[in-house]
Amino acid sequence: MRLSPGDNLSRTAMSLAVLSVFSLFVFPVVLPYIFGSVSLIMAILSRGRQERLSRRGRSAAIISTVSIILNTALIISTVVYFIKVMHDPQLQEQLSQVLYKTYGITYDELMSQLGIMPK
Amino acid sequence: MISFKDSRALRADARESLLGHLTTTVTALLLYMFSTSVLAEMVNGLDSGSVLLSLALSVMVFFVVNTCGYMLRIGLAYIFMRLAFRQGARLGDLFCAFRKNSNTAVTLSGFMALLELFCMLPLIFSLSVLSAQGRSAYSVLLAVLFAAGFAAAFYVRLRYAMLAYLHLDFPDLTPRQLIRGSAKLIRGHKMRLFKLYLSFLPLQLLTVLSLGIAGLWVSSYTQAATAAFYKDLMANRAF
Repeated sequence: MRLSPGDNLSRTAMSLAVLSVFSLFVFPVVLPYIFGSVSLIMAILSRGRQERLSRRGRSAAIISTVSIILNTALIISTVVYFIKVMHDPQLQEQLSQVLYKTYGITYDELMSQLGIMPK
Repeated sequence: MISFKDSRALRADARESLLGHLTTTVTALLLYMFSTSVLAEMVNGLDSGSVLLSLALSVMVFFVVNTCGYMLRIGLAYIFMRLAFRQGARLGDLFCAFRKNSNTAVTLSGFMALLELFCMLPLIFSLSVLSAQGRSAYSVLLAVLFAAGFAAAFYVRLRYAMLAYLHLDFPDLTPRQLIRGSAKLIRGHKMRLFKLYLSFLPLQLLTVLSLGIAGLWVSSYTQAATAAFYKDLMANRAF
């Protein structure tokens, strides 16, 4: 059975929505925004002249919106955490231990490499 | 009784016209953006030591790039108009202004470029006169000039939004007739068109989030809605 253009578009939107969620864990910050935004606009366009989105289109819209929100929350929490670390020597020590175990560098070395002088 | 469609109905018509044709429209928009940015980059490297020569170059560059850009916008209008009237569209239609009736297209493009140049001239003049070091002291003035120029250019685009569509629909008319007709056609409907553009503002956020990539689909939607607006306008009033 041949799919209508709207069905094809909603299927593509769904695939991109799933990719958006997947990229949250693999390559966050940039890719979830790109995949999520394109998926959302495609889901909206798949509606055509209908009053409501199809089931698949609605699912794609919800999943991509959730992905965008989660990505935004991830970015905000990371920024807030790093601001806290810069003002808290205890947190700096904890982060330094984790960084040294994982990457072999301390917190101070990382900050000087990034050009941000530690307080 | 004459009744014009609201933004919701126009957006529904736009979505319907795009179904099955998104690949063509997105590719056409990508080609349009690539062409205009290449044009801008080609002449961006021009530099001169003299303020007067720098100003003259800036004005010339702005005019040439905008004229070519508008000719491509006529091609985009052609694609979306064909989709709005349920006819097929091809990628090659983007360059239709360079093939059919090109003299009128060049005149209209030059006219639009000239109008937008007048809007941005105070800003271009200030940027040329102020050296790179001195610009930070006049940042407020430059911001005001930019905002005023942008607002004026937006009004010009709103007033002559139907010019490209009229040129394509009535190829036998002279540029003067088309310019007058476009202003006459949109009279009383500028606010309706502005509200239609405003309704796409939430989707423009997606463009920002996706670093411009989702903008290809959002622009397709916006252009299709503008073509649906023209179709609705022509269906309800005599031209």
